[in-house]
Amino acid sequence: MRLKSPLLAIAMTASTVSVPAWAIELDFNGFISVGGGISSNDELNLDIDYNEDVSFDEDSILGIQTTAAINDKMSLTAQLVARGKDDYDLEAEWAFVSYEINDEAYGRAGRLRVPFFAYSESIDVGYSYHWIRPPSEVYRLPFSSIDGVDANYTTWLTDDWETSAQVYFGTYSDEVDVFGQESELDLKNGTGLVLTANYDWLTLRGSVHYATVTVTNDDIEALDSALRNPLLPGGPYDSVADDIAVDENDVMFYEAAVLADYNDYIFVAEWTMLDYDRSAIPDDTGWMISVGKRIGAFTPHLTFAKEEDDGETGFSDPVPAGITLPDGRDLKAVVDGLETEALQESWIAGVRWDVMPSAALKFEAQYTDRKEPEDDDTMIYSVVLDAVF
Amino acid sequence: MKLVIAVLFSFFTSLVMAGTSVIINPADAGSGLSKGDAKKIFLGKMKSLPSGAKAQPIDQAAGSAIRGSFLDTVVGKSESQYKSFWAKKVFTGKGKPPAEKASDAEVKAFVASTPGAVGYIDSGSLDGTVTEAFAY
Repeated sequence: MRLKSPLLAIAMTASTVSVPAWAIELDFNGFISVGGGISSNDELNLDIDYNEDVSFDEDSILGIQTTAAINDKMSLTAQLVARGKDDYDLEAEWAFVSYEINDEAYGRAGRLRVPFFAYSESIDVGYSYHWIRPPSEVYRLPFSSIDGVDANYTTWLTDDWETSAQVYFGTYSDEVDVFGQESELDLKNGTGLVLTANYDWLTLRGSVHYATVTVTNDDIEALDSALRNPLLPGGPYDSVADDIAVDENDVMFYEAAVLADYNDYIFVAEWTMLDYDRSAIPDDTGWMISVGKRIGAFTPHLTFAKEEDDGETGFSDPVPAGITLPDGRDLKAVVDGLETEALQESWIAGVRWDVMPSAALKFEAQYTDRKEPEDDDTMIYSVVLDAVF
Repeated sequence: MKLVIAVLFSFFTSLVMAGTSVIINPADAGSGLSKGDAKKIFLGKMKSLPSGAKAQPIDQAAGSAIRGSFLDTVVGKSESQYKSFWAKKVFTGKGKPPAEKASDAEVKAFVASTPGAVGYIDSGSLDGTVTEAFAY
């Protein structure tokens, strides 16, 4: 799993007296997932991008990580990840300097994974959990990293209970898929607190996250200026424009999870809620329950996951009907189309087979029933080999 | 004939006696090491020995019988659970798994020369260079 750097060996050989002070210890690690899948319904557009022809991009990932220990206290870590669904473009998911204050506390600065979910931080490393991928009804946020700092504190509350707290602060901006369109996401004041308590086989976790979020794309901007145009019949519709805009909105995200691994029984429950302060986007909740049992090298498992919004779109004034925008579209139809209503359930049945140490082969069948925004369902079958090295 | 009997006798004794010893450096012997401590140290949840020395756990080779029984008995995880546990730590920058040595002799040599080291060897390989913390 670990390779000692040849540099160190060279450095040590080069110095017959002692290891020179500049000899840095490097560790290299990697992970890989290769696999493919098929969906029974091309019409249903899910976060899991499989269709009626077998394809191999969705779950295929290669990651390389290197850690350089500068000294006892400080280290540098960089993780480059190439995903099939991003045409294997390399992306730095982690790139940080870590400073160990003492045995119980450390801080990091750089590009960090946002600890939104129980499996966020190792989500690319399929080998570290039982599914091929965590359910998309819960793991649904369109970005996963942040540029900033964090502080971590871990202590044994009693002889059996290990507790930890993590706080982070940072910013993020990227092109992401929002409203089904490539959009500019700009996240500021990203702040969060994660509390974890671990008792041997049981882990309890709760987290709360805050950010001011701005989302723009050409469509939103065109709609905004059309609505604010006094020449629009009955216009301007400033309050509708304000409600649609995601412009420095206060967004809160809450999460709670219970993870148990007792006598080869696995139990995972996670609940999340996304709370937009205002705007046309309804608040939504995603939760799941997963059970599994390890039987020798096999771990069959079953998961139910559900995402639903509260149906409140939060318009201060009703959106007027029968107004035609300058580009010819009906205003109400366009606004309705922007509402990201969500009501979706999935059942996932699968098996993880630990074929050898460091490699697991996984099979999954998933039934997804979507009610909103459109009423449709599909079966997805996927097979993935996960390995770490 | 006497020699054959002696060899057979020692073989059977070693079968009967065969146990595993968790060993520490003699410098750390005073404050000892419990089974619970060893579990925490091999999971990176305890960074120092009771003696105060920086913990340096040493595993045997993946797939070896002695490692399998140590993980099962002391750590309470299967090999793949242990690998998954460490994969999660490694790829989130939260630590690295114990170093590995290929034999009892290598483990013993490392522990003998390193205060803070914790290893496990066949009880039959014990000698005065290391201290047994506990056996199972």
